[in-house]
Amino acid sequence: MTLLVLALPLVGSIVLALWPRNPDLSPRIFGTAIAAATLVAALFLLPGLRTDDTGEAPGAALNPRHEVDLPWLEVIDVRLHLGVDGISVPLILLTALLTLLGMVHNWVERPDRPALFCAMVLLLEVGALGTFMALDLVVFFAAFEVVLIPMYFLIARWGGPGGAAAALKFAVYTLTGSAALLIGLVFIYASTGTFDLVELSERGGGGISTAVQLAAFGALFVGFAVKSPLWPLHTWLPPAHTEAPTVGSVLLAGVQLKMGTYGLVRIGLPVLPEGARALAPLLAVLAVTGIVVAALACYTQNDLKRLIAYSSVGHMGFVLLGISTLTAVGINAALLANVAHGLITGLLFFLVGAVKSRFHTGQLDELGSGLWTRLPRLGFALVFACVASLGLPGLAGFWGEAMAVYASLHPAAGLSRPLYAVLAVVAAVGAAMTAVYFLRLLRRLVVGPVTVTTAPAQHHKVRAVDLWAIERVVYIPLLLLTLALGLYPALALGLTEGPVAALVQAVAIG
Amino acid sequence: MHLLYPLIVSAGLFAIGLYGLLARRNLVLVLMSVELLLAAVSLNLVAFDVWLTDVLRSGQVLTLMVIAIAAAEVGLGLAIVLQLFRQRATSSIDDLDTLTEPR
Amino acid sequence: MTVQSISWAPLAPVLVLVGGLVLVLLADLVLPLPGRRSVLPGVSALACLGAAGSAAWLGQSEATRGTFCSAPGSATGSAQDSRCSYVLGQTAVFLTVVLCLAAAAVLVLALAQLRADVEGVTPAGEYCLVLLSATIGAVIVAGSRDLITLVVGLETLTVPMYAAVAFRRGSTAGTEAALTFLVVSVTSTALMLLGIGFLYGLTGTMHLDGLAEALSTAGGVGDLAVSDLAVVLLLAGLAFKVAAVPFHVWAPSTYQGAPIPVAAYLSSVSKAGGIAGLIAVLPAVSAGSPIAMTWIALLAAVSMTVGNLVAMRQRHLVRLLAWSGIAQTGYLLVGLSVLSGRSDQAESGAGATLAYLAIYLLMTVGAFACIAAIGPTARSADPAGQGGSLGEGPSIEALRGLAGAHPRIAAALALFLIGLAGLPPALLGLFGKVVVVRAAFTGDAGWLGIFVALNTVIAFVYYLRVAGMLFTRTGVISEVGISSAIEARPAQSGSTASVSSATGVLVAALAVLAIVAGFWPDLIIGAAPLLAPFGAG
Repeated sequence: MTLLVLALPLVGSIVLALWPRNPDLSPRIFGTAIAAATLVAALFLLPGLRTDDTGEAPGAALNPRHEVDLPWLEVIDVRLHLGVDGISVPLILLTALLTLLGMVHNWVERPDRPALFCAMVLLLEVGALGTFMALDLVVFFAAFEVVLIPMYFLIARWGGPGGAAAALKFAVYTLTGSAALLIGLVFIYASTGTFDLVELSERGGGGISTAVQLAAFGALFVGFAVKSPLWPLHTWLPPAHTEAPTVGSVLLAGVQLKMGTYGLVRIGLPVLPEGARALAPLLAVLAVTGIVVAALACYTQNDLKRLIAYSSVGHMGFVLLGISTLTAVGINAALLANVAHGLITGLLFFLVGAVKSRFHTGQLDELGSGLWTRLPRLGFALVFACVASLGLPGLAGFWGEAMAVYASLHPAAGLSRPLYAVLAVVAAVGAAMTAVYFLRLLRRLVVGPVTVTTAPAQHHKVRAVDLWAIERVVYIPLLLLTLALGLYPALALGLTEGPVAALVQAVAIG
Repeated sequence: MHLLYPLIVSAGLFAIGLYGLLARRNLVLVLMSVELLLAAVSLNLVAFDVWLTDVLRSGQVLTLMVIAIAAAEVGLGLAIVLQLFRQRATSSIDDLDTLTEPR
Repeated sequence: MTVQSISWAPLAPVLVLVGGLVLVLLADLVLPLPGRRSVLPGVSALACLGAAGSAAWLGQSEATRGTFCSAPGSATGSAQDSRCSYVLGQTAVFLTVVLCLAAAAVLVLALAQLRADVEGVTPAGEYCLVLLSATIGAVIVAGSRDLITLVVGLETLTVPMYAAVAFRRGSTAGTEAALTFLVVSVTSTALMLLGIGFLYGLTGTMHLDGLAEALSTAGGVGDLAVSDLAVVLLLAGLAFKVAAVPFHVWAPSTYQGAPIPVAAYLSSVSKAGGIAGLIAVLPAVSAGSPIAMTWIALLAAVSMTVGNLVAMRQRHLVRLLAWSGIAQTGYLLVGLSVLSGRSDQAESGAGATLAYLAIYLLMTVGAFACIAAIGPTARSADPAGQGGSLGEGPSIEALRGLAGAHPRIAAALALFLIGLAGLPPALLGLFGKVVVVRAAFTGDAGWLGIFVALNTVIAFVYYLRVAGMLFTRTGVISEVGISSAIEARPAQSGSTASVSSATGVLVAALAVLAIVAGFWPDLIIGAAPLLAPFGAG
């Protein structure tokens, strides 16, 4: 089943790349069909999981289900080892859902060369799914790299005017992180002799000396920090988001950013626990700094997409804070915040894309105000998304942030309690600051006198039409899931709790 | 005869050849210097072979090969210099400057 | 007087190539001019494929593998085994197959070039003769176990290339490139022979096994400073062949001035021949002292860095590939520099280099094939650029928006460049980089692994620049350029189509192989000998 989930978008991508230029065949229909089939196949991954997940090997750090273990490149100890557990399945479902919604969005904003566009999106999905399913370090690395080229082309070829430069910055940053990641992974291999994640998690850093663990975790840290993104390695994100097309931004925020934090939880913590323990305070400090800096940067932003990009940095700061506490509560908080961020920020970028395509600008001072009055449905959706993003209780965003702050007050044994307490306070203040900039955004754009349709500096005719049916199809699932996750977080926590407990127990961190 | 005599002669020939290679402008003289280098090396090999009284005569065998290689190289080299002269009426190594790094 | 015995079976690849050579010479005398242009390269390519096949068959069979052997217990043979000058061992079989396949691909490019060459500026028979002779030299180097055989093989590989580079009669760039190549090459040969002379004088033998024995005996000649000097000189000659920094000066000019198939040959088979020589020589000369390994490691690190940094400035595509080739040499040398590391991983280093070599050859020949396919169109589209009159191949600016006119060639070129960079979707290139970094880390040379990873990032910038240039939305300049190119060459329109067909088939085949091998890397990497899982071997 895991192979099917991975193979479907891969085959779809190859077929679309070779799509004949015949106007009768619609590549968008084919792409949407493939994405839908992938989502359905991914849903079939759920039944095999058990929520208590004690598994056949009690006490094992990693109990994968739907395992696939085929020889791939035996001469260098690489096997095609795939599997899922409660930590990866929510992210897999999120990826499949966002890709499907992105494909449907192709009817809202029609890109030129649709076959190639859909091929790039599906290739991105393959990379993300591969990362979440990989149980072998080289497979993980290969999948991690796969997303780079499609995203580069999405930003450079289909993006805004500054696309080429933003895409290059994105690519070079990500590749530098990947280089560090490769060094860390091979370093682990050289010390242990295996690339297999299940085996490495079993050993829990047993055969690796502390110095090597520290160095390897440092390298992995840099690699995942660029991807997450962690302040101060985040500067590639705002230009990339600003220039990317809507679907590109959604997938970048909703899927790609998850890969970094997932990597930390899947590889960094179980395989190198001593290194993790040593560098966790640094991670926490940088994460919280990121929350505050991002909030401050958001306050001054004029460009909608840049503002949401910086808010992403802030949200991922909470995720990384949760991971850095090295406790079950913290890691659960991180995973929940991950999923919530994917849903909410994905929705936000879709909506901002809708605003941009109607008013031909994404600048707050060029847009007027009174969006809710003029376009009530779009306005409502925007309000909902912003409010969810700032962490209103009852919606998905609240749980991740609150639990992360709580976990920071009770960090793992061996970590400095005073430091983490201070960081918890600062993070809470940062959460409050998030509210400030989102409410400012809402005040400027959504409420107030209706100037949005007569705002100055418009060279194109404004199509101030409220949400079309197709757009509703795209946004409503995200809205509903955000609400559902907010009211019933056990939807996600139920899946993650077991594996996280096993993880934390087996490596005796918390 | 002591091994040192042919080795010193060979070293001297090699040095002269190297100087010629680096300092001479005319391509034909450069090729001559290259011949000197190869002759020095051949002398070296034969001297070592005799000194070692090698049963397989490896040094002398390699020298025969080097003679053949040198002949082929210089033959080709002169042919290409001739082509250069026909194309550009020059045989100076300083005039080979069109394929340099872009500024 | 001892005479070496000759066994003909291991010489099968060489004999097939020589047979092909003779056939080409005879056909050149007999065939009329138009037929010559297609038949001769075709026969040569078939000869190379035959040689590859015979080497593969020999690799499977139980026939004797050594030839030109001296009897055991004789003055030069060791007490137990006979010492053979040419042995077709596992490594040699792999190298022969890979070299001959690459040579066959280059000969297909030569076929396309000759077919398009209606004025007859390039003599067909001599062209094929030269490329085949060089291939024979490469195959000899791959199997050599003896310094004399090595020298003969290397020279057979190099000397015909002087002629090949200068072959286009009207081209001043070609003549200049050939002369640069020749002067630098003979100097390095002389230096290498000097080193060989000293090694011979010190150890008394030319055979590599005997050298290893003599250099590794404690307190023997291996401790003398002169032996270190000799080893360094020998390696300098080989380093020139692979274009490692600082022996790389000839490469960019030579590639730029040579015809595209010859540049492809130089960057593929010629370089691989140099690597084959290094693989043969390094285990022997590094037996005594660590200087050889340290030296190779330094060459690797410097080549990577300098090659990538200078490549970023290049505006001419073939010159960029030359400098990137210098960087790739650095990656190839990484595996060789850990040969005497941890004993259980020692030979894995050579295996990593062999695997990466196969991948590199595929990607490089593919990239040059794409350049050959787009050559005529792009050159005319850039009248003001540096390409065109100066050397073969397009300037990078001329590639802008090429995906509009030639989508498949552009996609293939992007694939090969990304493969050289080491990223998906050219998964094969990624595996190559993983193999090299793994060899570095398991051979206790982690710093080299870090160099490789960082250089991948630097290299990516210029590979991506070219690949991205292909896919930019077509600008006005290139549209005008391409249409004017089509108008300006009405008489050649037929020949332009025929250039595309042979080259197009080659590009498609190589691209398909690259993608398939990306999902099934065992096909190429698994075939490389000496590559072993951790803890085995």
